[in-house]
Amino acid sequence: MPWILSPTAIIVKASPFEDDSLKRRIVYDYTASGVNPHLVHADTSLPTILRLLQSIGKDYFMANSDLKDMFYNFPVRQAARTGPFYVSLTP
Amino acid sequence: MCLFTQWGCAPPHCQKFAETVRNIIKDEAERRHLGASSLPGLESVPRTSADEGGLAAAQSPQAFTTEVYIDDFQHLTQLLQQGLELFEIGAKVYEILGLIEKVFKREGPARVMTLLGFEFNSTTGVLHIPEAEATKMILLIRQVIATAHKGGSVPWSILSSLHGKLRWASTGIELSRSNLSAIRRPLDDVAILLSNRLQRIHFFIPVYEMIEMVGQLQWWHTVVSCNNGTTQLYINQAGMYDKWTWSGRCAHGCCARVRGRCAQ
Repeated sequence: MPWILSPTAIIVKASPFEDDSLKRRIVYDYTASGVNPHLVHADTSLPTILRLLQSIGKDYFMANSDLKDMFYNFPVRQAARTGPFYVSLTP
Repeated sequence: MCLFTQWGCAPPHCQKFAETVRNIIKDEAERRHLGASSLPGLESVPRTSADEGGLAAAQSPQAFTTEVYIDDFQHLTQLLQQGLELFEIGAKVYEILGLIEKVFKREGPARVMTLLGFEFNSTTGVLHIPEAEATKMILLIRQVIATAHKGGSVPWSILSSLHGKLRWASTGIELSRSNLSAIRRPLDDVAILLSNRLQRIHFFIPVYEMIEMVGQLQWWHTVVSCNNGTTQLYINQAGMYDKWTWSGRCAHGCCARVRGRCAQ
């Protein structure tokens, strides 16, 4: 497995939901390391706010629940686990 | 081909998975509405009776729904108790699937809420950009317009940031997307040349030469500064909100309501 070095940064934002009131988000620049051109671009579309509101009637109630670490909630097959930071193109 | 990054998965896969979770919640809600037996594992979630205003009291399947945005589940219900019951069903489904809910981030059920960054009031049908975000956008627009009028240029990164904010705003203001093209064009033209953050900060775009872009920014300035980009939605014949919007004059005299799409 070749090494891929991507510039890495961290964005720190104030958040009332974190213990130390700071939310940290890691950002990898896969364009700079040349990874992006080799990835398959899977299109996805999410409903816009105007589309969402078509499911609401007058005086309806709205509620919101969030999942923790959504992107890390899905098991990745063992064979694809090649390191702490990796990108797999396995079908 | 399938892309996974780190130990997690990419958004299209997350969204598909989340939609499956959403469908389970909707299925259980539908069963409760019809008085049918619960899905396996969900029997322990208390049912709220029709008298108490729970899912059993729903007049139609349109009275409750759940929409999902990757990790964000939006429950929309006619009655307060139905929203609470959906919360409980959702919590049990997450638990069974091994997903962790951020319980402290639960919001609602309420009639005024922030959805996808916009604030919506289901009683008045008014959708608008929250004050703080609108103020940021207005200041940025004014900064670029003032620079153009002085014959100056703005960094690529500033214009890109403004374009990102306006693109988001355009999702809640119908007919506004056509006023993004001239703002985006100079960004696209040079983006391939700018491979790092420093280059993006130090590359200046001569906005004073771009009359069409300034015109579009002035349109956005009017829209956002007028009641924070308010869109008034109206109820259609099915009793649900539908898309209406404005483009020039509003009740305050600065924009006119134009009928977008309505069942009437």
